Amino acid sequence: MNQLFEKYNPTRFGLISTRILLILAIALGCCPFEMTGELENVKTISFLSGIPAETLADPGVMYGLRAVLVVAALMWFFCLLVPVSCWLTALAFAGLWALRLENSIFSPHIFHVAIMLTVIHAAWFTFYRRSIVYAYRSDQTATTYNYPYWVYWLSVFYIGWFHTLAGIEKLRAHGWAWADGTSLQLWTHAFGYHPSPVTQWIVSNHQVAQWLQQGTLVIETAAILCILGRPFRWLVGLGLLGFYGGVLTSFVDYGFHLNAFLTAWFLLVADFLLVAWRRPEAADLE
Amino acid sequence: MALQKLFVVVFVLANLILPFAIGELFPFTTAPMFRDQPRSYCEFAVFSPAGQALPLETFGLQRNYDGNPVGYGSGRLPGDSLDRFGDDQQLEQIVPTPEEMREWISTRLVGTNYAYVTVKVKVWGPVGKRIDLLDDSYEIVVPRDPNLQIEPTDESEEYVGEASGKAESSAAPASNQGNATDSESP
Repeated sequence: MNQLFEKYNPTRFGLISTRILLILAIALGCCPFEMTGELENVKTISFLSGIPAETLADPGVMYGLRAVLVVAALMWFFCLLVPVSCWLTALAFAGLWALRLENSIFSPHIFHVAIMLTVIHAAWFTFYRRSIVYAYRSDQTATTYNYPYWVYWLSVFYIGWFHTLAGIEKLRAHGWAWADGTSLQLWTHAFGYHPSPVTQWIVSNHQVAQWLQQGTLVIETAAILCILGRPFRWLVGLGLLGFYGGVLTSFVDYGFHLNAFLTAWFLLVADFLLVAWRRPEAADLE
Repeated sequence: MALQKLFVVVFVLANLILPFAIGELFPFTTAPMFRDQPRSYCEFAVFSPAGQALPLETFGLQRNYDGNPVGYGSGRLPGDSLDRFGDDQQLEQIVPTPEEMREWISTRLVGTNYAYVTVKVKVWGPVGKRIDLLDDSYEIVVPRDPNLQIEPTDESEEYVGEASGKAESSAAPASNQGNATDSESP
């Protein structure tokens, strides 16, 4: 796979992936979020937890970080001040989401994947800054090949591991008995979008709920196998997309859209684009 | 090239080890969402004497659970609540008794304009193949004056099962509410 990738590695795919992540970062920088709950100074839940809770709740800090994120992301988008803008973006992206978690009673896992992938791509820009910036400025990204295998592999690894962790947590908490169907029915009943036929199907049919829950546990726990190569990546990618399909058609507004999109992009769409944009000599070799 | 390899090794090891070593510490995560196994849950609604749905936060009945373990990975303290969705407990521990509910609400009625409120508790759980309303559901009237005895009326029956925490009307404490339109005694 590594050797094959060296023949495929178009910068174009890496740049588009990076820009998708930057658009998500800018979107977070522009989206308001609600502060809930009472201030607490004793919990350590993020890399910002050492800072006093009052400072973290200060609107000035929040808006300052938003401004840094948007400006840095735009600079990275246009390959300016690389790699400073890359790491500033990654830090501000993670910092803003950490502020969201620090100032809430809820802990949604909506941006974890996007932020970790941003860190990976910031490292890529750091190590390959000269050739990437040159290719960008001379409009040669389509014919430049310096998207190394490890950038793609790490992205796939993190997506797989993130889902495997979810499976391991469920197994650690309740073992295989977690997938009893009733809990999924209850969650769907409480949080689901009731006009959806999928919601109704799950709520009214325990056997279906149990199968879906068992399938979820298997595909989540096995997701890390996606690092083993294309067949595994496709199998896991399709399985996770099926899982997200069920989640998004029953829970609808639960915020898993980004994770679903990034999973599809790196595990499935990437293969098509990498082949389509491969080096000309690689096509000859095939 | 050595630095690139080092980055890869550090990134992988950090993500493999830290979630188990330190738990939920963003940007690292154990992805705990929906790891619990609820057996049933309660849906609360509170109504003023005029039949107006009141915010659950005012009465400590809001839902602090969103699928993640309550308080895990979040920086702020949720307000006290009788809602126990997310606890891996049996039905009798999930559903507050009418006596428990009466005591809980009456302490929160002090300082409001309401002479009494009607509390509806819907208990959802498995019935055959589907999720349905359980017999443990109940409705009580809680007066501000504990000596008053008030029976439930049909005034608040328009309530059709909005999820807990979604009441939209305003129910400010007396200090925040200028009028006393809801303060009539039955």
